[in-house]
Amino acid sequence: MGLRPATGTVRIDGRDVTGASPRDRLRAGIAFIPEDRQEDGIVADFSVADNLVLDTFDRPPLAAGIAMNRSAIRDRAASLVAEFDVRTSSIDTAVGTLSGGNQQKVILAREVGRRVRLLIASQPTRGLDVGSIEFVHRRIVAERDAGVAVIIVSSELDEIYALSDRIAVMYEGKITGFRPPSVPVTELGLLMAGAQAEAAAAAGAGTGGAEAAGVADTATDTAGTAADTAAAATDIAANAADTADTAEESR
Amino acid sequence: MTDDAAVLPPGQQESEPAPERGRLRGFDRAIIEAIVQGSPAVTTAVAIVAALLIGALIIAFSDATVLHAWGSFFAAPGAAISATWQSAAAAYSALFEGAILNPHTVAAALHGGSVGAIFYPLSETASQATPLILTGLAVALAFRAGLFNIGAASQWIGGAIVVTYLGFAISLPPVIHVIVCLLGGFVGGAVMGWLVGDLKARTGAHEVIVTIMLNYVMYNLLSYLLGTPSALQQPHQANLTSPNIAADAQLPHVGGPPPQVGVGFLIALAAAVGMWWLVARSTVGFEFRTVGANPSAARTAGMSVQRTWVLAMLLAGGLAGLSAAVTIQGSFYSLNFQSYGTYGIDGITVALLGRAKPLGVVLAALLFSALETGATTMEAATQVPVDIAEVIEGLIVLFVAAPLLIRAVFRMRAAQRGGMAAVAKGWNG
Amino acid sequence: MTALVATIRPPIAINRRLLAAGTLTLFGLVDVLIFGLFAHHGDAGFALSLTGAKVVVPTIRLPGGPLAYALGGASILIGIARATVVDSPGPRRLGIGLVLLFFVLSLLAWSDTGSWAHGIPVNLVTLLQNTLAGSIPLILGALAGCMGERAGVINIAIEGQLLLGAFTAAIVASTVGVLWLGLIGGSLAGGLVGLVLASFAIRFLVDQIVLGVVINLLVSGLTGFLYDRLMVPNANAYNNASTFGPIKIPGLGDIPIIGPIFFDSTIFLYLTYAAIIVVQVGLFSTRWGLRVRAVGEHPTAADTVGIRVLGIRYRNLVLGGMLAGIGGAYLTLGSVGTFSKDMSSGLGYIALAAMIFGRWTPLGATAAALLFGFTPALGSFLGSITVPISPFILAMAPYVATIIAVAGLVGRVRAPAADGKPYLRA
Repeated sequence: MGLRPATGTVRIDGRDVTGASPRDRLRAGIAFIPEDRQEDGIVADFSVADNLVLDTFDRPPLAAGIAMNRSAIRDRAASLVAEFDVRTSSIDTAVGTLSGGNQQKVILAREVGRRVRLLIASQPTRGLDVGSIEFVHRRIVAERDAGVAVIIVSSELDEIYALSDRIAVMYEGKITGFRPPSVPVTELGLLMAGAQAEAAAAAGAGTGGAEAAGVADTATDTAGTAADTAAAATDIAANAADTADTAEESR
Repeated sequence: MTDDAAVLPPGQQESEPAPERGRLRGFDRAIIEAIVQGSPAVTTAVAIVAALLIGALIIAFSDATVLHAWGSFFAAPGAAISATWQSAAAAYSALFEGAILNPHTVAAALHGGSVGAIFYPLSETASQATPLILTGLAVALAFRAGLFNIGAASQWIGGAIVVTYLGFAISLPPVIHVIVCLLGGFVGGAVMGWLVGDLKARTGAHEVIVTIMLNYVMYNLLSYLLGTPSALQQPHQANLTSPNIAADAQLPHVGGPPPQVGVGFLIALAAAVGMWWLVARSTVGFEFRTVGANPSAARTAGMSVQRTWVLAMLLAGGLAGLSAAVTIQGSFYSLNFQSYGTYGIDGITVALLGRAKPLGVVLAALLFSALETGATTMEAATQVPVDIAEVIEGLIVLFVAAPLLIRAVFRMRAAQRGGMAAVAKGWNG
Repeated sequence: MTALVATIRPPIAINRRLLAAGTLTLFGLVDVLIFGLFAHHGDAGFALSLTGAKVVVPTIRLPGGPLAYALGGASILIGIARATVVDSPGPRRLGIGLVLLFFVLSLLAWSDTGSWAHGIPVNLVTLLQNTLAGSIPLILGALAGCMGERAGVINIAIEGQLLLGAFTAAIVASTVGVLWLGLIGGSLAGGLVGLVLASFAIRFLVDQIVLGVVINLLVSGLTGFLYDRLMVPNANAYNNASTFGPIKIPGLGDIPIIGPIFFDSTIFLYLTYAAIIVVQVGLFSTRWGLRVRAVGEHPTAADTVGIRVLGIRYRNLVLGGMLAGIGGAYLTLGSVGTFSKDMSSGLGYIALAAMIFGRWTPLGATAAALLFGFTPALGSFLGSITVPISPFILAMAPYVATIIAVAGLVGRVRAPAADGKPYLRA
């Protein structure tokens, strides 16, 4: 999953998943939208239906023991396609033939179509058309509203400003500062360039429920820093998840 | 195996339709279209025909009589052509008679001869195909998980050693003995397969190299064991052969005196069905296919790529070991270099032709064993060496790449879906 | 799937350094426990000259047991050093080489002190001569592999190139009567296989591993067929080639010990030297080599700079095939003269392993090929003094060694990045 914490722990609902396998992390309620959807997100030759169950295919009701329940899978796929407005001629078409936007919707559908506690989305709207960007943004905010902790890793400042409840800026693998979305661009830019600033404490609950943090990516080599970003993101995730718990407890 | 329609030949411009080639008119074009965009069945049929044609040419033009006739082509052109035709036709009809049906037996049956004899060639073909189906499945199963199992031979030997030992060295009640030997073969092969998968999972050692090396290791081990009386060698004689396995460990045949269908053939078919269900309908198979198609996505989705590799190789090895079991228990009853055969490497071509699908593997194995069974008859009748079967098999597999070849030759546009895929990827970078 | 490198980085569950150190120590233990403890009484003799040489080097005699202990001890020390201290590639490889050398010497000492040896010393010169000779097809095959793979095309068809080269060389030399033409014919045959491989891999985008296997099958079938059809009935006309005689290089050939090994052999060995140098220097010290490697690592970038990607791939495969064809010609014209079915007997696959073992460099591949060529030479030597080790067990050794090496010592190897992926102009 690319999440390799350098330091610290990650706890979901109090459960420590720091060193867990990707499968356990998924089961614990983490949803992950990878940066490189062609490589890590979808299997191009598989059908839309198969891609939609890539991480849930072996649990009931989609499977009984080692036998897969194909009709249940198809039903689930059909409902997800409808819910997420995936434009495809049928659930059996190969997902590699869909447009980028629809592929991302498939991934989104797969990840948040089930109950999750934490959604991590890396470059969620890269290469998408305007309509798909809208859709993804709306859906992310909907998740936030439903109580899911959301971390977006993005290099699109517009997106970050539009979506974030809180922005964390990274430079060379370290967080240089936390800022609210009202932060002026110049200040953000300085942080992105590594100017030293007080790392704002991650204290203070947001408006009930969980928060979303947007992390700006500084380096040109986004692939390289994505892992680092994700690493630091786990710190934020830990904070966010804890905050979510605290917020819920305090209700 | 990815659909080859999704790829463009190099140099092909995507933007404009290719200019019409003058010589392709309606009917020709329809045939080409059918081949290029047709089902794999059509492609395979064309490949088989093309390969047989080239095979015929090789047979004819290495025949001294034919060459002689062509030497005086201008004096007697008809003679040259008919000599060519006769050479190839004689060879191929002998092939057919040996593998499928000999018209003489039909005629004899009508005159009161045995009806069963009509089916003798077919039963020979089926029985020859049995080990090939299983090694083909062994390679195909690994393919589905993205692994190249060139080591079906080493897994076969692993199974064979266990089967033979259990066959002659221990005694058990009749039906139990058969089953124990079969299981033993599976386990022996599975261990060899597991070894490859585990090495790959733990150390990243590439399975092509490891399996090729293991093939040689096991081959030498086999020679050693067959030459050592305390191990597997039949005592009191010098050949590299094992003692016969006990009679009650042998696989029975169905149906009376020849022709017969060995139970082994039924086992092979059952294995094919089993593999189909596993790959297409089970969660295990879904994991195999995902890991085979895109290991990164599989990993992200929580699948254990390493565990899949190990499991796939283990099962594949088991199938190869089962192949050894049915060979030894069903046909040869002892282990030596005759029973060893070339099932390992042939399994690869069978899996390729069958496109790693169980039904395809069964059909491909039947086809190849028909060629090989028929070839021995052909050699006896017309002195055409049996190696031609190998050549034809290789050509068939090579020509299965024909759609791209034909498309390139006629500069056709890529199939609809392939075109769209190329465009879609281009836009998203 | 077709790349010869794992695209997934498996979690290295076993600490590689410890594994390597453990393997080295294991060799040392074998030296001590088997060749030392079970040593026979007496001295092992190591002859260093051939009879009739100009300068006769006296035979070295060493006691078998103590020698094994000493060498075993040294190996264990190297193993410990590997675990604790040594980490750069140079000393690492030196360590591996030394441990292997000590192992072989202990084995030879043990063999030679046995009663079956009757006091005949181990002639190291003959042993090395045979090693070198047996390695020729392996080295040339591995070089062919390097040429292709460095440009990004997997060549599993080395076996087919060797076999067709052997066949063509034999038949041409027999019919035409001139050995040199046979050699050239064999080389061209290898090049032809290279061309077929290139066409189907580059133009028709057939999976390259599949293609290699199929080509090998075709060549095996075709040569077998023609052997039965033409050579068997008319052996005198078609399968009657003589062999190249040894050529001694004046001066160099008379150097004690080294001379007879390196400078007194058939033309094939000298051609091999030339090939090693040309390919090594070419690939790593010339502009041509840089272009080739660029194509193999990042063809798109190379194309952008104007390098003709497909042309380079075709050319490398054909040239490599010609080298392998020479290796195949050696099997007939450099060795027995006549062709027999499937006489390449898997050497092509071993050459492939040597190439991977040698990390896709000509020098590395040569070293690995020599290792592989050594074992049959060792086997026939041990057989000649009737050591009671089954020849089959001995024959297994290089293959087991490769597996251990690929898994333990070498581990995940890094092929050229674009290896196995067809290049499609966007």
